[in-house]
Amino acid sequence: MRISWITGAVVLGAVGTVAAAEPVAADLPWLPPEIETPSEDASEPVSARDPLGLRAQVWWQRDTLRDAATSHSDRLRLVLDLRREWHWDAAWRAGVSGKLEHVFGLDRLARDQSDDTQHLLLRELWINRRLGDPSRLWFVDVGRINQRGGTGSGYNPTDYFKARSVVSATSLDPGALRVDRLGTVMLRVQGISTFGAWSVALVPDLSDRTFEADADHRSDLSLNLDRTNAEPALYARIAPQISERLSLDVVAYARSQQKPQLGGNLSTLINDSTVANLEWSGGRLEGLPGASGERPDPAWRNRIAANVTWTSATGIELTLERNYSGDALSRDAWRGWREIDDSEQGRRLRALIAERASLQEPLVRDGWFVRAAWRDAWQVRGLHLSSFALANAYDDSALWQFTSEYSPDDHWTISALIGRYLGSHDSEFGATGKSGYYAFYLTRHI
Amino acid sequence: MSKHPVQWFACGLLFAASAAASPTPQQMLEAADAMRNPEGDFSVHIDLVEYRSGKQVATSALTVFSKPAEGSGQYNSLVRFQRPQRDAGKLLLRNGSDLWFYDPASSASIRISPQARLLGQASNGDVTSSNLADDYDAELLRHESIADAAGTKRDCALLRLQARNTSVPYPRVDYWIDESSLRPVKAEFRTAEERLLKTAYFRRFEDHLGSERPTETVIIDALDASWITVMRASDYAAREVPQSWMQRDYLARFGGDTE
Repeated sequence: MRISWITGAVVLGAVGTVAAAEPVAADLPWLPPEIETPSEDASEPVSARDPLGLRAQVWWQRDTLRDAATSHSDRLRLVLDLRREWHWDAAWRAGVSGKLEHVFGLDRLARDQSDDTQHLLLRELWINRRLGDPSRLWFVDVGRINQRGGTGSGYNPTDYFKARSVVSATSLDPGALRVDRLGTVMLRVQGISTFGAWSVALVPDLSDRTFEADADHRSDLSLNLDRTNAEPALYARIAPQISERLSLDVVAYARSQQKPQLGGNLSTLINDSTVANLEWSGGRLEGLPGASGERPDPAWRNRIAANVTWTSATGIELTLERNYSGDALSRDAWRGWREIDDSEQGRRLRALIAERASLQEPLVRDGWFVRAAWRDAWQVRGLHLSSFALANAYDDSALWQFTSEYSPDDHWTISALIGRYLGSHDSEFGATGKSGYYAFYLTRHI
Repeated sequence: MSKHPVQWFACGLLFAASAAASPTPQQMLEAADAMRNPEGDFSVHIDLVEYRSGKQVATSALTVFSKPAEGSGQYNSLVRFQRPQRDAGKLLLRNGSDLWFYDPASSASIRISPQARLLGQASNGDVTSSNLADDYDAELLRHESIADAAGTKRDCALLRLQARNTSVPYPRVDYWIDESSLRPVKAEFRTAEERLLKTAYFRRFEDHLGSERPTETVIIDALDASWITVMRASDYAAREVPQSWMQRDYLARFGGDTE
């Protein structure tokens, strides 16, 4: 008779509690009972236990505002999030990832429904064909694919498909933004052999519209191809097998109306607890305009993210990252922007900040990113804590966020999130309309 | 009654022959390794059951695909997380000290350090296959009779294992091996300063893939002895594990049950 493994384990756990009182050899501590049923449970097809890949979320969010007249703004967010893959056999796979959300403004008693926003986001929809034999494999992917890249934690210069891909951000954690974003429609071919891997992706132009960052996106039920496929592009990557402790990949990217970019990622294990990463991208780029409106000429500019992650014996991970973006504002240019007192210049600065945020590129050249994460914090299974800070190295302003998640079982997760914009009123993060944000959300895994 | 010199000589010969026949500490370690790890490519299902103060608090399940690494005597392993559901589909790739973690939600493979914790009390090295004899020098400390996991007294050789390099998670290991069966009985994992990190008991010996193997390892935390994890290995299967699986770019392509 088949016994549920979980039930069996719970029963055994209870038996074990009783067994704790039984005498054992003097030099032997109490040991739990033998596990009796996992083999039977393991014989079940894994797909039968897999979840549908569906998550339902309820969010309560509050933004605290610098505006003295309205101290805060509250929202209720309902989200249905789907991530699912189908593996029919070794040769064919398909995947879909998307999100439907409705955000209700809660600011006024007589709520104006025009404050509401809704999004239907198709993040990914692809089909994959596998060819070749295990020693030399080929994969062909077609569809909307989230092609991510880069070893950076807070900034990814070689993640060329990140630009404009985030439609609705619920967390400003760069790790979360990499996941909750639109993929790009492409044809991708990848080869994997014992010598390493290579891939080439061809991106078609599928939109006649030009993306406008300041357009009304409150009700967005389209495919958003203007964000991801407004111009044709070509992407190539090669990742040779070098050594056990060092990994390297080299990427190249060319997009219509832009100069080609070259990039590379290095990752190495320094010791048993420390990993170091270096990410670089270079190419001819225009610089950002200064307060006078003058824009530096196109020139070869580098973008770099270098980080070290250390893991403590208790599992706490600490990451320190230095970021550099050669096309962003220099210290002098940013000082010039901070001294403006003209409203037209202020409008231009806000547009510039919005544009850089949309591209997921830094506003100024030098920045820092620090992150701390603790999985199963205090040895409580399912309790995950993380915090990060993204700092402007010129004005010492920063964005700080702390997230706490607890999953008591496979079906529910309860989370809290708090963020603060720190800095003087004329600094990058101190000049934002919001001074901070809070959120509590409940997730049901289906 | 005194013995004749010929008798003494015969006794000496017998002793020398017996000494020559008994395995060296390093050979005992190799024998215990061979009992824990099958030869060739294989897969094994692993259940982890975690207890606090005698109460079960968490469970997780994994499938491990292992392949002997060319030239090193070690294994490369691909670990697929099956339960809990929130971790289903995540992958851990281990090539020596080179570890990569893949999360299907982000479709990204990131390098992690051997110290990174993914499995609660069990370390990444605990669930992947490893031959201690390739990383440690063994010396015999003493002969000792200790209780095995069932409470039965076993005459054991207590070996002191000293790490040959810094890439292993435990610089020192005290390892009790049953002298008659060469079964691993108990291990104490220590820092270079002798501080005890955790204790492991090997039990539930069963025949799998042509040899008797310990299918349960009980891991006891040194700081909190009430924190115990039982690691149960089942469904051993000899199967080809292609070399292409053992690289980070394959993680996003791993088909799980359809492979």
